[in-house]
Amino acid sequence: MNKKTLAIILALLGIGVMIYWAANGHSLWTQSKVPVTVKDELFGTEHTEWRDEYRPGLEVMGPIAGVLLVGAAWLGWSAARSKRRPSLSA
Amino acid sequence: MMRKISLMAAAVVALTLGAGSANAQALGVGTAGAKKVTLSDKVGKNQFTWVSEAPLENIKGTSEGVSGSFTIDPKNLASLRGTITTQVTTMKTGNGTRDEHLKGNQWLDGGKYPTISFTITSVSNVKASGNAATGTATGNFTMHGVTKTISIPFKLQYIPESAKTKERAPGDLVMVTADFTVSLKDFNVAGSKGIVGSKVGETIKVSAQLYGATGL
Repeated sequence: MNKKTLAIILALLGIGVMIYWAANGHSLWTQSKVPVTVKDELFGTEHTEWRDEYRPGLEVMGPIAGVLLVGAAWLGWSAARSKRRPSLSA
Repeated sequence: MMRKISLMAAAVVALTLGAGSANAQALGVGTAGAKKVTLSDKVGKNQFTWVSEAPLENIKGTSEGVSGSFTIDPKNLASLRGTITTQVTTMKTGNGTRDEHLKGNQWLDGGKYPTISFTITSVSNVKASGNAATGTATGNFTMHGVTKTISIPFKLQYIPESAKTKERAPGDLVMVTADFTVSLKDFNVAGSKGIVGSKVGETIKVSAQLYGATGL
């Protein structure tokens, strides 16, 4: 696998991590429980209960995405640099 | 003859209007007289849900451990009085660390001020229709050791005792819902430096759901 392909994979993973975070509450801090709405049939009202569910916050997903995107950028730069530099054996 | 008819018509209109204004305070249920309603989770989930909206984050939380009672006369809702209390230690936001901070001395200081309470001193703007009513409860709201007089619009539903209600609790069932806001600054809740206004809203939106029964 060449550097360029690896850079693209890392960039996609980094973006995917941020999309996952945005789609799962996009909270700053990790949630170990999430609120769910429960309906009371007699009164027709709703109340909140807490369900155990791990939703990573930005403090977890941010560094992961950051490492992946920085890695992708470095690999991309490195691949472009080695492409520009002529090979000594040529 | 015409004058007599006019006078009778005026009297009927006056009586109707008078009855209408009296009925605005009364629920259309068969019971009358003051009754004590005790809050209980047997009737329904007593809970305060609250939302902090800030530029960086919205936080949803709940406060349970709600207790209290109020007296209600279905035929005179303006006489409603009582005190509702919730325990600071029961507050949850879905993040254990944040929950601890919330109860800590920089925020609500649950160790020193373990409860938040509201004592109703007057009720106004009552509009009743059938077994439901709306109105505004004014009273003393105490949080973080500070007491302020605030007015809270509420909705009330009164369900007379039946075979179905007995499955939950004895007596008539009463549900009250209310939405209001609480300014943290008004109650000297400063929080960690720089957090209020960025990660925690300056004003918290609160929704109360209270359920009680007269037979408890």
